Amino acid sequence: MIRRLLPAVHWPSVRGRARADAGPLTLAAVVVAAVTVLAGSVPVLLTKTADQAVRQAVRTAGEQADVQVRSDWEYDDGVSGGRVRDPRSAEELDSLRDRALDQLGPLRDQLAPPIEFAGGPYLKILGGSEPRSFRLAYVAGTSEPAVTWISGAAPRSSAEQPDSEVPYTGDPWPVQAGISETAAARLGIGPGDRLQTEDVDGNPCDVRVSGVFRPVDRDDLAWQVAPWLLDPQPGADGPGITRFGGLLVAESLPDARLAFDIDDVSLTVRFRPDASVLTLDSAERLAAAVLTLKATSGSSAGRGGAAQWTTQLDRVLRDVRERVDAAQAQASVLLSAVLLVTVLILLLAAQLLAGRRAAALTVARQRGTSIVALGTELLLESVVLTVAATVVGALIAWAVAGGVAWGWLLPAGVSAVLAGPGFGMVTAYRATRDKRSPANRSARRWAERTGALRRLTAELAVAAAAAIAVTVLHQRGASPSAGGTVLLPASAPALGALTGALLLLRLLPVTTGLALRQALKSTRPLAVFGAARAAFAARRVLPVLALVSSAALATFALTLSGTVGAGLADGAWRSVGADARIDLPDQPAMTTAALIERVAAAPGVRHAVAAEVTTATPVVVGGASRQVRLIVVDSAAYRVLLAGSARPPLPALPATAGPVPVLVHSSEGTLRAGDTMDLKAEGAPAVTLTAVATTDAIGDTGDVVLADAATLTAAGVPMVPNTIWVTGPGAAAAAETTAGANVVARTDVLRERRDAPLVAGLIRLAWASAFTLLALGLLGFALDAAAGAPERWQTLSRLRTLGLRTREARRVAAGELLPLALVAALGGPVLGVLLAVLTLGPLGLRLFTGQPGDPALLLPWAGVVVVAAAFLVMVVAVVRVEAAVRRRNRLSEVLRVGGA
Amino acid sequence: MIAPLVTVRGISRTFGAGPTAVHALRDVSFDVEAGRMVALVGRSGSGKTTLLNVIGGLDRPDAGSVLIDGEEITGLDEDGLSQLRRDKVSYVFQTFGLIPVLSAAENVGAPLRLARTPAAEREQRVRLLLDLVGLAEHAEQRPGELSGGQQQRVAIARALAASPRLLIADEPTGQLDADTGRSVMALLRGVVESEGVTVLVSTHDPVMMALADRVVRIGDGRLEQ
Repeated sequence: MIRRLLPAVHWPSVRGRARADAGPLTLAAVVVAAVTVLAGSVPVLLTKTADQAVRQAVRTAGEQADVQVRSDWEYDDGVSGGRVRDPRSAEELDSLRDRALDQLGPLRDQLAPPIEFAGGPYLKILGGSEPRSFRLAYVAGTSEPAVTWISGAAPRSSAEQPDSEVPYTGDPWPVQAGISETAAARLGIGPGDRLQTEDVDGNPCDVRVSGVFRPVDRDDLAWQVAPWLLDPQPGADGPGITRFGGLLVAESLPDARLAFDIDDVSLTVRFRPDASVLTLDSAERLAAAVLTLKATSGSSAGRGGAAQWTTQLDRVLRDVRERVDAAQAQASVLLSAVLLVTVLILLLAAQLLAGRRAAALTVARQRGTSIVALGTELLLESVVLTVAATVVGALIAWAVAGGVAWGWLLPAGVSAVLAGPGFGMVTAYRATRDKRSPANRSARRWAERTGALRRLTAELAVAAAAAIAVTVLHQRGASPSAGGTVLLPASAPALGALTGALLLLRLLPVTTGLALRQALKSTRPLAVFGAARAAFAARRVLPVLALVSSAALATFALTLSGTVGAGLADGAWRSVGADARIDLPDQPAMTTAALIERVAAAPGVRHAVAAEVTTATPVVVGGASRQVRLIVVDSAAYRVLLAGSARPPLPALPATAGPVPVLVHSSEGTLRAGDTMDLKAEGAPAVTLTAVATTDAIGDTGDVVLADAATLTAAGVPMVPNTIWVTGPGAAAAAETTAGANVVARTDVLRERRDAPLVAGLIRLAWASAFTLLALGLLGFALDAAAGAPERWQTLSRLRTLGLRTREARRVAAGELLPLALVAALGGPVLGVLLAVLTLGPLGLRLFTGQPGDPALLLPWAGVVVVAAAFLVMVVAVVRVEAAVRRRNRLSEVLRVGGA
Repeated sequence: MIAPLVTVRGISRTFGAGPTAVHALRDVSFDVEAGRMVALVGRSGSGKTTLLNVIGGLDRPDAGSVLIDGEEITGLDEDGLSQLRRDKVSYVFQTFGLIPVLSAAENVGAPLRLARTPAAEREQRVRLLLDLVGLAEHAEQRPGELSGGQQQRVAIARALAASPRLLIADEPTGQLDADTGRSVMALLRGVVESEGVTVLVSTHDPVMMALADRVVRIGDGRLEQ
């Protein structure tokens, strides 16, 4: 029954056609396989790269990414009006940990083992020449971290009875703590000593050193939440203050609670996301779950087991998500471009194949084969071919990426399956249909106009789709998280290229017609024949669309890559401020002037300029307070420094009486030239500043105010340098030699950003897309040349019978091929740059380049020249190859019907 | 006695080798007097086209010689043959072979462009030839806008443009209906008279043979006269 419904398939014909056209069929299969590799692997690689970026972000964020659950100790009021010592304090922490694990459920697999932490308040260590602080802490993973007591012993209970009641008034309750050997050496104390400390209110505390310990494993996760228990930590409690730690154990923790107010000792369990297993999805699920827990647990911890959840993981992930979204948008844009050109090339290949098979298909029709049967035979062939090529491509993609994304393969697969049968059926139908051109001229014109209207409608539909895509891209970007389909905005450059190609397609016949008219006026016969052939060839639609689109989108991909590269370089310069930056310590070993002198004298250093850079400096503008990045610098010296770089020049600051002249930069337009603002420096009178001009952004983000050091000092705000900017090829080396660890090199920042997973992946994808697009374009050119070769060389052979010489025939052939190559070589790159101008903005490249705004478009001239030259070189190559092939054919064949 | 324009002596041409070799021409010799129309007649595969190709310098014989206007052409190199085709020999094809994007007049002027004939002289000659073939009114029309017979007339005008001594036409009416074919043959007959050109035409049509001054029959690669 089914066999009766299906059209009869003539298998010998199917096999014969496949054998006869093995070359073009293999070519189409190679295209399908290559695109399967790219489109199948990129989304998988992107997901992996996103996961990698999340892991890196979580590692970099450190404790900011931690998930914390906090609770309050139970009230410890005793029956006698005092506080009762709770010997099970450590068990309360265990209980909090267990409850938290229960609440997290399966998400706990994404977290490292929890760390229990109970920390005491800030204590000031009395005596000594430098400011020092002290904190008591209890930490435990599955158990307390192992230590070796190198002197003394582990802390013990300070009470005779484990649950004794202590009056509220009286001497400070003693608490025993261990200190690390490093801290002991720094403080000069040992077991049995009492550490002289007081709290923020000046009340003395009784902290006794029970012993000095050495950690068995410094990498034990428990130490990560309180590293200062092992090594004193400078600056942890404020500038210049070094924090020391005292280790509590389960036995001394109850005493610590009694030593301070009930709420002064924290009760916390920390979970650090396990970066080794974290993915973008799991991290987002985790953050969402914690936020839900946070919302349901209230804004403050409660007693009796109530817990408060907190985390900044969502904030950490928000930045990553933003960059991942931008990367996905850019990848979608590039894949859309590759797929559009692939579809066009597959259509072109199918058209070539149908042309080659025209005679055989016509004969088959004349012998009674139905169009449906022919279509079925051709469909069988294309399905087998496409499935085989897709399987091969998918296997390679699997080997490369460890997975295959199938969604993007659909357009290429459908085209590969349907194009061949479609063109074949149309060819067979046209060859055998009864319809003839109307003899009546007006009827012919009507038919022509109907065809022209149909074509115009299709072209307008493409142009409208492109306009809508560009609009949607500008309105909400192409990020998956923006909602709606990604395909339309991501296709904006591809549809734009297609629209531009359609426009050029309209212009090409006009141009070649003009060239022909000019050639006819000339006395050069080759120009006439070349122009005539060019005018004839200019009518072909698919080659122009495919080649112009490929050249345009290859240029677009190169421009994207070049713009990101230049933006990264610019962003690194802005972040550092020069080739190298020295961050001066609070108490430098040598004066700034001496340091600058030494750095400037080093080989390879062009300039060294000191500045005071303070972020978040409050200024009052128009009655509103704003936080700006204030840069105080010797403006003349800084101008010279910038003049030797690729940065825009610094406008001059006039030395005027009255308000201090400053330069401003504002990415959001909140500061403008002409604004007056008040600067209130600590310990100095308010100074009025007036913005005389704008300057380029200095630093990553935010508003900038740049003042001259001498002028501001004269106004009562002296400069305290904290930065030295150094330029020159030897800047980084000189700065490192002179200033040691406090140096930030521009090249290091640039390398770090360029090697970041998402950035590196994006640049690689842009290059791969550009290469693929160019290769597809050149393949399209070759296919078009092959499709037109029989007709071209028949005509040239006939011209040779008129006396055209062999070498002249080659030039005429080149004349035919040249317009298509020229329109691709010239129109394509111009179109590509226009598309980049139109669409790169909403793609969020600034998220990768570290710039305050979108990077300036960079035209990669070398790449564009390669794209353009490749098509022109193809003309020469095709003519030479064709001439070599045709040399084997005798000119006499042209006298035979249909021969060439 | 009129001097021969074309002298063919002992021409042989074999395609392939060994047992599958096809002997297209075997020791063919004949002369064609100047200003005559000679019909070459034979069945398909008899060697007509091969003989025309050899005489027109489009193919080289394995043996024998061809003299056109006293010039031995079988030894000419590619450039020499191109020059021969520019100056002395022209062709009319069964499939017309016109350039589609050029008008009828521009197609006719193509050989004159190759010969670098001055524009004014070229245009005059083109007008004359189109008038000769009865297409003066269609000078600006493109081949696609002309009927098959009109296209073949343009092809004949183009073949005559450079004033060749010899016009070779290989079944020029093959794609035309009988009436149109006869008018084309009549045209060829006419140009022999008016232009003094020698025409060598292959055909199957007995009616057309009647228009020729002489009929040369060929069969299995040999002359049958």
